[in-house]
Amino acid sequence: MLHFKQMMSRRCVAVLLLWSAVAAAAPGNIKIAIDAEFGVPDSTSAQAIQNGAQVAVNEINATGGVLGRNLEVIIRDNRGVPARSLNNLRELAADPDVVAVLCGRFSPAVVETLPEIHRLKMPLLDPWAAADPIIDNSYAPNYVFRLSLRDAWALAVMLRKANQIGAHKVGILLPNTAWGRSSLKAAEDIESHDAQLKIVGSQWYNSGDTSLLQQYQTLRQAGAGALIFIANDREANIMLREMAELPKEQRLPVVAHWGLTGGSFYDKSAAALKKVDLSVVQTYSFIGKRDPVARRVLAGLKAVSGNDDPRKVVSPVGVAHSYDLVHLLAIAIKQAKRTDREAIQRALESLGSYQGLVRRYDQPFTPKRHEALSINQVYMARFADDGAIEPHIGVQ
Amino acid sequence: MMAPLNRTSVSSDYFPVLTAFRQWRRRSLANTVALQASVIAIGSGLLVALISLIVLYWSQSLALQDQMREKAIRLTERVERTINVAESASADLAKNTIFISALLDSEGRNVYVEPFLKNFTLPIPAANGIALCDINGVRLAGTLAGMSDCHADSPQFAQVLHDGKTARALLPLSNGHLAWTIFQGVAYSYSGTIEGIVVTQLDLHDIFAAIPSDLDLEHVALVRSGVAGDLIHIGPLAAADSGMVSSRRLLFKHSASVTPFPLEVVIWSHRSPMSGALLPLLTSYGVGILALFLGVMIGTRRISLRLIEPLARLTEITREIAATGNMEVEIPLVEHGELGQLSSAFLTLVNAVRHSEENLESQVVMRTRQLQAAEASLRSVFDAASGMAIIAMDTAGRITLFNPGAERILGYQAVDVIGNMTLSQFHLTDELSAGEAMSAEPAVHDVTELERLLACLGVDESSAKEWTWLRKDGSNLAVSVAVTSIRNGGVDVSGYLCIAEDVTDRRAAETKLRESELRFRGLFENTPVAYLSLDITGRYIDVNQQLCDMLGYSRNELIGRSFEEFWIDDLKPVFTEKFDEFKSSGHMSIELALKMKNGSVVNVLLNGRIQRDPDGSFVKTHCVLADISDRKRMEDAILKSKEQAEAMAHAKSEFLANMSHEIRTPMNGIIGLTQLALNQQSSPELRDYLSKISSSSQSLLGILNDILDFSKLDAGRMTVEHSPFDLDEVLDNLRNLFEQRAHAKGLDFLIDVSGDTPRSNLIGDAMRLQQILSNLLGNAIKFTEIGQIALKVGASEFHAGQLKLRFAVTDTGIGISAEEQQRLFQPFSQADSSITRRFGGTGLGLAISRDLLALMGGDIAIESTPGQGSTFSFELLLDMGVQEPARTVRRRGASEEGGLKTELHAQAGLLHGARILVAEDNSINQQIVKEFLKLSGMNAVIANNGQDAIALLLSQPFDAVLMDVSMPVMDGLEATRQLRRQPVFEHLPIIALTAGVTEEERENCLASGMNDFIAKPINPEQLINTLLRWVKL
Repeated sequence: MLHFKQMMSRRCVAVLLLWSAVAAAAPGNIKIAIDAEFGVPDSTSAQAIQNGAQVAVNEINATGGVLGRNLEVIIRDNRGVPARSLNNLRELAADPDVVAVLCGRFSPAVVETLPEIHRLKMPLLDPWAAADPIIDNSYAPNYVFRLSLRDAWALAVMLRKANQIGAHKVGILLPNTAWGRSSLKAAEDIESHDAQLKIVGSQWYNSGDTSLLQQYQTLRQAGAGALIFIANDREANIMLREMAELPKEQRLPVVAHWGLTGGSFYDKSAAALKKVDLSVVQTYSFIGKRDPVARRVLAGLKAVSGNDDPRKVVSPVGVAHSYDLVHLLAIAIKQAKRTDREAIQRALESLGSYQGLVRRYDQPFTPKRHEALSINQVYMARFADDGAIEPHIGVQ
Repeated sequence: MMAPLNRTSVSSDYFPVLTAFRQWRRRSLANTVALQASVIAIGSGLLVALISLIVLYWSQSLALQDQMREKAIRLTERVERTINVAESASADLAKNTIFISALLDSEGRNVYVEPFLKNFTLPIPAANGIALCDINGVRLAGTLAGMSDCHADSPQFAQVLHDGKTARALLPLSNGHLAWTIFQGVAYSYSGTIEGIVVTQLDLHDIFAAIPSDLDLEHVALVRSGVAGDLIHIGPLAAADSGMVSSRRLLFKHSASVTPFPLEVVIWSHRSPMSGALLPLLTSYGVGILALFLGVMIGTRRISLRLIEPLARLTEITREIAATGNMEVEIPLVEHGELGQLSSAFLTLVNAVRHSEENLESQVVMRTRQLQAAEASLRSVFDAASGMAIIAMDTAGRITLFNPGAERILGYQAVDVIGNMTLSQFHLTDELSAGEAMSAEPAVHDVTELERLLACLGVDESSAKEWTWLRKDGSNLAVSVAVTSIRNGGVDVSGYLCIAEDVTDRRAAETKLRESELRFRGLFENTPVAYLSLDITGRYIDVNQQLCDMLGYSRNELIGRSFEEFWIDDLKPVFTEKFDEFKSSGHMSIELALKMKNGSVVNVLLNGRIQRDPDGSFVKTHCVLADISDRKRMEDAILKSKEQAEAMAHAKSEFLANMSHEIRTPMNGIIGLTQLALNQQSSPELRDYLSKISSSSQSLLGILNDILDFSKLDAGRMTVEHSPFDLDEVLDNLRNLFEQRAHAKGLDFLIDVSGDTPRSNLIGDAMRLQQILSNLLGNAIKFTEIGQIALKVGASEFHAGQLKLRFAVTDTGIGISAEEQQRLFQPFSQADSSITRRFGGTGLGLAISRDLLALMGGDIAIESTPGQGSTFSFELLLDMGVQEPARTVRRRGASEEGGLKTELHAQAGLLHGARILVAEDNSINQQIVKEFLKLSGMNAVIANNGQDAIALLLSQPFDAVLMDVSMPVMDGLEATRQLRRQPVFEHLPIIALTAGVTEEERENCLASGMNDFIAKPINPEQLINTLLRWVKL
């Protein structure tokens, strides 16, 4: 019996050795990692980014992959916490098959890991997080590439919206993080160039606060005609619930940054939205798009998420941005002709023109410009009665 | 008593005092008693002294212990209070939202948390420190004191990250002291998970240090319960000293989870119970005991001397009885005490012996009678058991009893058999030797015949065996035989008893039953229907061959296994539910998919019912299964082909929509250029050709629109508008379109609106209404050679802001037969396929009209008589807005030379001299728009793309922009968005030019900031009208 066991274990070892030899010889998949807030309950942004990336990867693999290898999306959960993101980045960097990392919605997780990203020389593609310092870092070469909104643009469009609805005095409510500071700086820059606009006050909240009413009332009593609201879904749900309970004359129009579209906001605040006038910054909507790329992506989404109804695409900006980013990355790998991350960083800075889903990119990134979008893609949207985020027609 | 004394005799020589005592003792029994009583007195005195000492010591100890416990409690409480302050501070800090933000944001942390924590100290009399750490154990902020440390290597740090529960540890400090360390998780508000840890430490040594002097104690220590050695000790190390009392108390006795492990506070004090009081006590006890010894010895000796006298007398009498053995001897009368009891006991003993001799004899007689009665009743049982042979044998095998039953069964008389025959003589020799061969024990040569027989029959076995017996008349008889051994007193075998029963009838019945079972089994196995039977737990208890064939298992592989195992994995979860339902309802009919042995799946229809016993409880199931795999396959195939057909239909619609979109762009060139060419001076022939190109391309555009509409309707994407419109405008357009065509064919054309019909500000889709009526009027003209075409409009009802309008198009044409009417609304069909050749057309018009009407809530009715004419009519329910006076738009023929120019120039009116920027990349379209504008008296400047347009707008003033939507470099939507962001262009009229005509495309234009929308191919009049609406000069 013992003899038989020994024989078996020797056989197993032999089989394993053979298998690992075969595995080492065959080139594996090229991996694109997503390090994002998968584990935050009610968050939909990370999943949207994953869906967009997967649709792009499926398209690329269907036409033979890149450098003769298939692409593969792998995911890591950072819950929006810098320390977790740091651990994930280190683990991913140790895998030579990982060519780049897509980040998630939470700016602090990216801002805090910038030193590590550049130490590891890991290209970081940003399909969502909007804080200005993410790109305006002092690193050269810069390993962060954004195809998303920028707080400076968001605040410009939000303040213009406030102006359109006649609110020349606004109050601004911000999170006590890098995102909040970036947004306030953007708002103040705009205020200094606009004689009409007046920021009557800025109020801060901390992650974990369970009421924002006091900050809100302070801003309203200071004379704000609209609330410029920088928040994710959790705080937005709290604010809307509290505002809906106020008498009608105390409910200011809310002009919101887009963090709240990255989680289950409409589901929880649908009733409050009937009482509060809320508009939200967006860069892309599938609604009404008839161009071939949009149709192709919706068909791809059907296979990945089971939905191809443009009104039901969850967190559409995450889907659209990560879709375009993965295609740009694939072109960069082809251009670099290898999966070396430094070579990919250089290739990303010298891509040619490309017709993407969100826009046509003449030269997506240059060594000096790491933003693929511009303020021209930014507009205000509203939640329709079915929860879809509809572009808001501002010109009558 | 003598033996121990002898043993001590040798040693006593050395002790003259003992020898003297012994001699004195031997002198009298009274001396012995006195001596022994005084020894007992000394013992009791010592015992009493000892007990009282113990009681005293005990009560003193208790008092001291109480005191010590009190101190231990006070000390423990003091330690607990201090730790609790640190605990609650730690919990509060971890819940503070600033701390949560600090985990996410280094800059905010440096501004808010770092300065706050730096100078923070807990209000406790012990050194302490706090650190805020991330999950990797990196210290993010903390107090300045040396005790701000994450201790990330400690198991408690990992444990808090893992389960979120607050953990504590005692960790060494650099000065050798121990720190009470609290690991408090910081929960992240978004995920509820632990994303940071507040580590609070306090120096335990500091808490204990002040205590010994405080509480008048020698020494205090903190120890781990049940483990030797102190964790902390204060005061001289004296734990092992005698003469100290100690007390210990569990720390956090009532909230044990707060400590890392059970901890005890131990205190020592120098004082001990009874110190100093012991010597006086011992001296007084010694004197008392000596006095007791002397008193008892003297007193006991005197009493004993009085008692000995009667005892001596009793000894004398006893010796006399022993010598004579005479029981009758006179026992002296002693009335009381132990001597009285002794004499009466002698008397009782003698009487008892005499009595028992008499009893024994009478019992022997009675027992004999009982045995005889038992023998008689047994015999009558043997005789009465006439249905059974009862045969007894002695150990030699001789028959000793042969009852009437045996006589009847075997035909022998008892008298002939008893003593003469053996049991083996009744057996068939062959059967016995066969039985012998089968018996487990090998035959041994020297066994007797009887032993062989008994081995064969099986003595004392619980079950009877069946044998064949030979009757006296030579006939055979089937019997069931059981042999038991008869044992004497349950031990020795004294014989054997054989009981046999005639089983001939039973055998016959069994044979019959077996035959019937075989017959049924044959039928059951060969039936073409698969059968199975399950027990109450769902296990197979019976199956037939057909089922085995169906599943590919043998019968043995199935029996005993659960039916559930054969259900496909998808169905397994519902097995219990279905089977319970079956058991409760008593029957079941269900379609199932079962796994076969070869791995494939068979679809079956199972019909079953439950067999119950008379009291209604479950016996088993009877189920039959039919193979329905073929039917399933057919259903799947039909479903698949239906899906394919739907997908193809969808693809077709998509293709049509795309194609018609692509064709529009060149069509714009053809139509626009033809109109411009007609405006030029040219020969009549050329003019004729150009007119025909113009009308042909208009027809092509109509066909294209039809296809687009049809594919939209087919794909369910068509929507109708609800916006205000003027009925007069619709009717004017129709008149312009058809009056001339009717007149050209020599037909009268009539539009008749009844007087009370509201005509303005109706809510609905004017374009679609016009399209439906155009189709009906076009058909009417097409199919009528002589007579008139009439459109009649009337309001049939109107109330509450709603209006029902009736439209009827009547012709005097070829008419349509009832049979042809059936096919009329089929797409691509006309009343007669020859019509296509004669009249042209796609055959889509009526189908589209009918579908459009359905979207608007109406339907087309036809009245027709072949050869006389037709009437197509429909009703529409419309909402009404505020009524305004109707206005009319006139138009003139534009196909004459210069006609277009005249007309457009007049129409443009106020716009003369306006500067219009045309952003358009297609050069043909550039030319067309430019010339239309020129003809209208406006100035046009061309930009090749959106970027160029913006550049031009920044350098020159323009009154409006005509913006193509899809352009290279920068498209029209993007350009518009950029323009709208600049206050200067906030009110600039921007009008889209696009080949896309869907609602979505139109919405996109408006969303980007455009004012209006003109579809390609461009209708010059619409172009001017739109500009008129927006341009303010």
